[in-house]
Amino acid sequence: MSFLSPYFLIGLAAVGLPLLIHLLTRDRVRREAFSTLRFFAKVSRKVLRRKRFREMLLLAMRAAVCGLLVLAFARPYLKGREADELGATKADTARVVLVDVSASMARQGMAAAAAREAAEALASLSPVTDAAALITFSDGPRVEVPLSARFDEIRSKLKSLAPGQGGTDIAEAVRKADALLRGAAARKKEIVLVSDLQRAGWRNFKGDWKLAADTRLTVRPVAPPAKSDNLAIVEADYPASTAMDGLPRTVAVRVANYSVQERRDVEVALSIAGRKVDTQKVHIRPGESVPVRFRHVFAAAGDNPGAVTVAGADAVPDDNLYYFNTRVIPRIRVAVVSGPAAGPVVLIPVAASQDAGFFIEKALAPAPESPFVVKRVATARARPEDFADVQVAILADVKEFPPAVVKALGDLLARGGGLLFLPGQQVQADTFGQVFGALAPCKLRSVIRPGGRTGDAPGAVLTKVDFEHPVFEVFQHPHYGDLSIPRFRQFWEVGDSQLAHVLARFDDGKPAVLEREIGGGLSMMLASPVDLKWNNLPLRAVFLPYLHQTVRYLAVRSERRTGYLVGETLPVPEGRKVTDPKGEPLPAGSAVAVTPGFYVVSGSGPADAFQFAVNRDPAEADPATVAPEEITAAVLGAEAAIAEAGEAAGALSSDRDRDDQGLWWYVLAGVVALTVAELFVANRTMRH
Amino acid sequence: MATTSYLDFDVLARIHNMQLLAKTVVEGFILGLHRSPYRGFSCEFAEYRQYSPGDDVKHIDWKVFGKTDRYFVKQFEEETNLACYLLLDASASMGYHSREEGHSKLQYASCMAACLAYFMMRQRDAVGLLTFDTQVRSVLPARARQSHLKHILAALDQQAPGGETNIAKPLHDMAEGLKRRGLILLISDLLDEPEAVLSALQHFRFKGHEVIVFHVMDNAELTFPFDSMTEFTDLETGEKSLVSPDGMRPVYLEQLRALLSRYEKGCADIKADYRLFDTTKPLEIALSEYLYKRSRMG
Repeated sequence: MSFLSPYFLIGLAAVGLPLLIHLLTRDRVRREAFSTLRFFAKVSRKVLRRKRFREMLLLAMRAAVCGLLVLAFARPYLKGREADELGATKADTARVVLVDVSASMARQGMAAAAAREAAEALASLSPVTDAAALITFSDGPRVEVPLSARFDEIRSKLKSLAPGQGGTDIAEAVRKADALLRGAAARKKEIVLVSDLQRAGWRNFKGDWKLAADTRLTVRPVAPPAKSDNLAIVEADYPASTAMDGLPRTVAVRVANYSVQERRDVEVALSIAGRKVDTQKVHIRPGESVPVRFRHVFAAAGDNPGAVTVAGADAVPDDNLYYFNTRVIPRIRVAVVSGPAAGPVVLIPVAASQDAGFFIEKALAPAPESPFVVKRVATARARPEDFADVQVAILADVKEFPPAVVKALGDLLARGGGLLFLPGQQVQADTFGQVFGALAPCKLRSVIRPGGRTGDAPGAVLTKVDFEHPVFEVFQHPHYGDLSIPRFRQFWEVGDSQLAHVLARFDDGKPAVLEREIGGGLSMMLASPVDLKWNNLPLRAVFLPYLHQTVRYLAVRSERRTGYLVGETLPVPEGRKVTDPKGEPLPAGSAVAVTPGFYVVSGSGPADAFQFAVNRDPAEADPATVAPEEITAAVLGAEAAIAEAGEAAGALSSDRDRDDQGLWWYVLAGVVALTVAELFVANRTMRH
Repeated sequence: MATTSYLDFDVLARIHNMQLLAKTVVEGFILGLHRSPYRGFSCEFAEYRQYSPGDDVKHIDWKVFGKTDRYFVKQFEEETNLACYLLLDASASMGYHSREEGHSKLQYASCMAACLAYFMMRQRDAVGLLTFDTQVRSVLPARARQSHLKHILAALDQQAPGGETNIAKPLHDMAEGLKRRGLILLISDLLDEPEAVLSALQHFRFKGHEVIVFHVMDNAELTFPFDSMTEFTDLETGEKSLVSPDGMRPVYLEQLRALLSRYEKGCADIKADYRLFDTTKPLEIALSEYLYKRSRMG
């Protein structure tokens, strides 16, 4: 049982009033000598007991009358429905309250205003006949209280509501509320959205879904403080990883001024590993943003945790700081194997440019400062020792190897290394399958010649490239390299590729780039060699970044991203432990970034450890908002009535019959009945 | 019946001289008798009877002998053969009085006994006084001499409540001890087992006595007027009992009525007169009762 007006329960002290009055006015015992007790000596105790029983009964009834009267005023109701997550119980109104707890709600007074709005949205509901749920959301929704009559719990949660550091995703939250209401049995279904309605929070809505037809949406905007003085880093660009080549790299941020006045001489500082290394001063006019670029040489191998800070206090200091981590990769040792296999020597002069390993070597080690250390190995002279100290082995048009060398390549994969197959002219499908079947991502079938025998035809191009893959993600944006330029006059048609992941295909749909995890390592294949006989890839601009990305990926696969946003799940390898910026370990299997800062993933040693830089969504600083009407119009179905934006949620059910809360009437009836009984007993007691 | 204000016991109780009190009551009562219908017998009635051996020779009427030459004994007009015995209960329960400055049942009973003694003396009846509680405490034999009245009044004046009530035993003892038949006037609150008391009274009747029972009760004993929680103490046993009078009153009055009814019916059965006295009632009612009984006895 719970109460609508629990403060009235203070009046329960009145239960003691009858007892107090009884004690103050009770009979004083007189002492009287009498001629004889023979007439009442036996019955006096019985009569006395009866009288005392009646008095106690009277006292209890009067106390009960006082107590029940207080209970009636406290408006009790039964909480039997709480156990149900609704659905089993038919409610009059089911209302889901969505409260924005994103980072932007941390501005002064907004959290309290949101809690007030949410509480008002609940005010018109009855715990007896209605149900409510509370969902908080930032970058994702979280059901704090499921649909139930636990109004007290919702109010309690609202009181302790605290914005986090996450971004905003209004669409996902509304969708979650809709899903919750679809499973509920209720006459009215309503969603109340309490948010500052940042436009950035609505960017994920694709317009591909609508609310259920019987669900209504009411938007309660929470206005930000009128005069907010805020500078924020709204964009950042930095090298997530770089080679240790001694060259400076650019770290750039964009600082926006959301104030109403110009900010001059704003100091923007770059810190690496906790040490301030560079400072710049900028002028920013109100409503505008300026880029700030730093050039820095990342000299330390491994992680280089850094931060860009905007000096000066403002309304939201959290968005004046941006964390990043640039991972400096030490030089990668690569064995490039090419040339004819051991056997009868066929002296055919081969130009250097025709050698499959020539362009690879030139691409990977054009100068001594190259991040790669290339070891050339002739196929016929290859020995197991050649692969003992390398991280990546590139088999450029290699036909076969002795078993010992094949085993050494297997060992390379077993210790987490990478293999890149570039099959060409010398490779035979059967031999390849027999020798490299366990190491390659797939087998070979036949050579395809889209360029014709003479090579006059234009040849095949790469299509359906997986730009999300680390190898190709550098080509994702326009003007970052066009993978459709290289022409492939010949390539191998692959087979048995079910276990492989196809990263790119030729324009006829046949796989061009494949990868497969084998043991602890990774095996990749480009179904065409890097020589000018089969394609013009080595002559195209995309060749070098493609090869660099491929070799880096094969050598250090964990260098995909170093920067994440709050709310994202960090890709922590299995078996590794991760600690948050405060040094607290995150639960195993759920490495969700909650606060900005550096998350450290431990390894078997210091060399294996690495860090993720986590920032709050820069869009949270953007004060631009989306109109409530835009949200309601976008998600409401055709049959649903559009609630007026900003309309008080209480008005939705203002015509509710409050008498449905009923229980207190029964309590009052009990009070009346007890009063009548008390009169009867009191009359009897007084007479006797 | 004469009822005058100066016969109200509350007024009489202020007279500390018992004789004066008795005289006041009796004279007042007799004054009223002149206007009352009770005027039937005369103490001057006399007769002669033939002398028989053993009679006192001083009682021989010599004038009659001179005329008739026979011996006749003259019965003196003051001579009577009625002996009245006042049996006064002086147990502790008789000491009860309900009002702060009120008089106890024993005081009332003593005054009643004094008045009766005084009145009987005027009627030339012999009067004796026996007081008792659990046993006979004092005995004054029945005498008709005027000086005997002083002893009776003095004895009554000195009465104080004694021990527990055990009426039956002393009554039986007295019934056995009184050889001369007469009138027994029992003045008591009768707070004893009715059957035992009635048995003792029956004993008197068996011995040839006429019996009048004056049942003296305080007004509070008859009405039980208490209203708040009271701890009662038994005057005789000292026993205490916490009582809620509101709840107890019906029970008490019902048992009291049963007791009174039992005595009234029991006395009627043994042909004894029974009269209930509230201590606020005038004393001459007791005198009237005596006169009525005396007249019936001839």
